Amino acid sequence: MKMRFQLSKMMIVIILLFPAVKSGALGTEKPWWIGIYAGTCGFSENTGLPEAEYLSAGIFVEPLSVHVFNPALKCGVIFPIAHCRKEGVLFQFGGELTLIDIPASGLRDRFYAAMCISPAVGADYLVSTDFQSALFDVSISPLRFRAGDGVLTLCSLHVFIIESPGFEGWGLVLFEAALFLF
Amino acid sequence: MSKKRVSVMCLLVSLLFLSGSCTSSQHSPEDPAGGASAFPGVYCPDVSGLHFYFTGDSFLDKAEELIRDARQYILIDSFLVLDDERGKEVIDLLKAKMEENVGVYVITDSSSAYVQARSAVPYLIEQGIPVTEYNPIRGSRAARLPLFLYRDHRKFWLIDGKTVILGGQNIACHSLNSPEEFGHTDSMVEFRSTVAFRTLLRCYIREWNAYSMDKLRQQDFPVQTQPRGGTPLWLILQDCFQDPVIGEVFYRLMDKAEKEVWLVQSYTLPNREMLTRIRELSAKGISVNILYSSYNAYERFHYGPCYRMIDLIEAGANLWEYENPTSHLHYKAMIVDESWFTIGSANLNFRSCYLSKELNILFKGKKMGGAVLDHLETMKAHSRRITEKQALEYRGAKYLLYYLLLYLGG
Repeated sequence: MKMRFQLSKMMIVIILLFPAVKSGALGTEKPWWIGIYAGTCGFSENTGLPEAEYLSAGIFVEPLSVHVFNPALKCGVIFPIAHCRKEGVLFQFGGELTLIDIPASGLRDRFYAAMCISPAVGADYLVSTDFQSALFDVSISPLRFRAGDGVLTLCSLHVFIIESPGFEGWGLVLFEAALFLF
Repeated sequence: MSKKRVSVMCLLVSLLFLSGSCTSSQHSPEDPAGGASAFPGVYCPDVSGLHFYFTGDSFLDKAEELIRDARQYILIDSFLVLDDERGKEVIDLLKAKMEENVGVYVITDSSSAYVQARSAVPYLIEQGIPVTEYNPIRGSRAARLPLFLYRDHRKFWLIDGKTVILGGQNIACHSLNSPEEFGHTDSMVEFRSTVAFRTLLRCYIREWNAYSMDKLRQQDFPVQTQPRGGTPLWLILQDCFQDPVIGEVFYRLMDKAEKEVWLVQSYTLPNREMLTRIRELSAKGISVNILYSSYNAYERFHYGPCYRMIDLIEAGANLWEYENPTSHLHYKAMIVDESWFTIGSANLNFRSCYLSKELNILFKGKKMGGAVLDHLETMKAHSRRITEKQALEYRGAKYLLYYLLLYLGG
């Protein structure tokens, strides 16, 4: 049972990352690869994480420039700010799959840029700094807006999954800005 | 647990490697007579129809003609596109052309929003013209703060797969007015070259796609093949951080000098290496001349360069001031022995060498550069020498402050 659960988590991560393997074959010039992200988030009590407001920050890699099933990898750190505690600091390793870029022409007048609504699903491993415990979550981000050089996410829901009963709390990323640098 | 972690990390690293791609070099593989690799640029052996415009009104007339005659597409990358009379005049013409199903796209640097006149981006959007800003300076992008220094200073137009225009003129009154109406004395160069067009088209689409979600595809912009056997030139394209070629081009041109060097460079802020080169050339008896502008609409563009004038004089350079009561000398060129020429957007300063995207052409030959030489003679006739005494007066705190501001800010 435990083995099957481990495999299913691995499968989720692999499925999310699989499109990245094709990138070399696409051969298109891609202007952006690597960026940084920063966000603010919170978690429900039953995740076992200390009660606090959290910030997240890290780097991400988006190897493809495709409008459908566009994968990204990220690694960073999540840390509590209000009620700052060392045990609340977590390393974050994850993947995100932009499902589709839907042109949002109505946003052009406000943001002076052509933007898309780009909903995504994702999965993360959150690992304690002593590497003794880890959490796994899957996420859905319906309010996600992509400009050419960045992605803004509002209210992304994260669901934490454990072996039994299968669900162990939830988290909410209130706002996350991901900006390409290179 | 640790084995799994290691395997996940291995998977991530493998995916990163698998997803890698290589970037193409801008250096041309062609090397006829060993000359093409003489400069770090794209060698274009197929250039024809080279024509120069030295005033805003003459370029505006040509630009209007080219817009009216366009049948397929017009791609414009302009450092500044401003919401003023001339800016709107060009934009309205572009809009009319769009209504005839001609593809029109405009890239402008985000600096347009930080000059005294208004950026034309809202007006372009209002008119329905596709526009995108390079490296937008916005609060939401504050995490990119150090990279805000990096700007796209180029000005180039690509029309219908055949005509390239590049130089120093923005889309704004200060560029497109006549010198009598306070327009800059500046340069734009028009020519045809398949190699140059393809190179710039690739850069344009890459930059557009980096900042806009309305992605462009290269195949939607056909390029006409020009007959080979035209006159050659180098396209000096500084397109990214990793390949700063502008300084190298200035130095290599100076190395070719045997008699004299003319730098038409109002924003000259020399570094130690440049001063050393000038000192070496002067020691060999080669005359190094730098032409500045006497008229400046903005103080920083006058005071900043003035601060280093005494260093240049001490290194052996002859400094001149182009005396035009209404026109700022915005023209950026280097002319060596009346036979080597480079003209475009690049200033002789740290910003242009390392912090900005720049675009120049470089070519050899009195015949090709005849118009440039004639114009240089006209400017020389209206210039006066900057004396050592005058340069020493520019060594005050005010000049130092503006020098420091201009060094990074441009």
